[in-house]
Amino acid sequence: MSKKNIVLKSSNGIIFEVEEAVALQSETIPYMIEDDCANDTIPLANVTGDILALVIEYCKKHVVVADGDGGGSSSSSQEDLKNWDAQFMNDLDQSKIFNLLLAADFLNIKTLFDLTCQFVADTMIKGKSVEEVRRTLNIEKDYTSEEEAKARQENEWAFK
Amino acid sequence: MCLCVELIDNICVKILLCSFMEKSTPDLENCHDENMINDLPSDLLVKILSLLPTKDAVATMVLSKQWLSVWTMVPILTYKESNNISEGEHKSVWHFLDMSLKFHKAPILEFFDVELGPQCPVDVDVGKWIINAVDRKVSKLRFELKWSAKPINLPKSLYTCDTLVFLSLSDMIFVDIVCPAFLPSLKTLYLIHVVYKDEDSLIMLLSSCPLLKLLLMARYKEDNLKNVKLKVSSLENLFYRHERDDDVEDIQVSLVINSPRLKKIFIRDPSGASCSIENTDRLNKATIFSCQTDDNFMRYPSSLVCLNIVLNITTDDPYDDVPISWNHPASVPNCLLTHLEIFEWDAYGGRSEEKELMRYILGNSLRLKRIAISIKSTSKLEYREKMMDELKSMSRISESSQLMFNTKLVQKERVMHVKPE
Repeated sequence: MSKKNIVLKSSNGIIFEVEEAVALQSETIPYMIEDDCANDTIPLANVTGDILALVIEYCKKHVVVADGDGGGSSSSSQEDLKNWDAQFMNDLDQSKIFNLLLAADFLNIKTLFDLTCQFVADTMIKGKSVEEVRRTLNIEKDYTSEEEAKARQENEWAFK
Repeated sequence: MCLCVELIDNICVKILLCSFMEKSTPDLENCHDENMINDLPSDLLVKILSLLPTKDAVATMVLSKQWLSVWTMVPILTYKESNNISEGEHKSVWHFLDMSLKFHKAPILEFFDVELGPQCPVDVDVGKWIINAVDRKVSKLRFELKWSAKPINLPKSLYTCDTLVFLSLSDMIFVDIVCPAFLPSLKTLYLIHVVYKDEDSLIMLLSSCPLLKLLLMARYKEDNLKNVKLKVSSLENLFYRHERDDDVEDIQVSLVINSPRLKKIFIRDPSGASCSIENTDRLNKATIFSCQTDDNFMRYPSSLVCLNIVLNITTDDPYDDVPISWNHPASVPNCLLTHLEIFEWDAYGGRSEEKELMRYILGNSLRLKRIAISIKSTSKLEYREKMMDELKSMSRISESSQLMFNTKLVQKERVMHVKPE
């Protein structure tokens, strides 16, 4: 039985050929297939090759589990998948994470989008002081010290 | 199944090739290096902030000028009392909640999640927050109030909120439905340790939810209900738990369930209430803990595939050795004759009433495939063996059925969940 493959092309010209089931975890790609000829390459102008490789790695992992499960949810495979997701995110640097987030948003892959957002929230902001968040996220403080003190004072309720 | 094996091989090569190319052409990849959080569109920032406790989301307002009002658009607001009560300071989250709601601007609230503890001052107007959430078309609302004041009435508009899909009310809440209630979108309702004005208030509340699928009701203290009627035509799942409060004298109470679409029920009621479940054509999984059953108990279910009964709960449970009231039904229930396939009994103690019930089930369940019994953990080894022998020798009408024993300690409430095939 032959399976249909889909060819994706990253913004910097790298070609990926993937199983249809892998690509279709993106809700954007089916529209692109409809718009173009089905056998043509689908150009993804917003996604670079290294990020697309990560997206495919994620989708590949998730399609395998969804299939191998046979419909019933086995708790061990769910657990494995969760661990895999955590490791997958942990191995990425910040720039890759934000690009992955943009790619997941553009390609409309809900689980990857949620995973990435949750990772950013949990590891870069949650429970940290304002200074720590600024440092972690490389956010330039464009307030003067006086302005910041004023903002904090006006919103004292938020920082008690 | 075979699909997944092929998939693994198929893509690896391409990814390897790709990572090789990346290393050899680093310049192509530089374009994204500067893409940091500030470059994300604001809807993504809002999405990230909505996954944080509201306290953390609000604090981002002073990160930089760009961040000043991002938090005001998050559609999820979560407030919990802090556990940090060092230095004797019992500060409540209520002031933060009050102020942040004033500045918050999102026109629609997906989830408003509030947990107030004993440190919350008793003169706080909690009702206005509920009104605020209802005005902003809240779809999920969880309100837990554990303050030291009496249970309070919530604003009427809550009970006519047409966007509400999930509602959870806990503790110091007085359910009094005065005006006609209508919750046309509500699918899940949790009523946890709340107090009802009377039995009619519960009936009116339930009858105002035409789409309700899941009801969780946990009762503990005196809540003004003696006879509980759960009549919800759309209900599919019911979790009902009534803990006995030793201070409350036993009063004759009853539980009547009449919800024709019910598929699963979980009942834990050691209070001695009589329980009857009517109109259960679609019921396929029932878990019953220590419940007295009257003559009508599940007379009608013809679709029950899995029945879990726990008449005695393990040693750490204060309600050990609740007497079983077991009345021989006048006729054999349909469910036993035609559908029941899995029967599980936790903490079987081998008392004569238990034996009688077991004999009845085994002797009448024509389709039984699996019987799983765990012997009560307090039984001595020699008694266990005797009980097992006795159970093995009981006659089973379904010849193909398998009898299995689980001799491990059964944790409180850990009932095996077996899916009907």
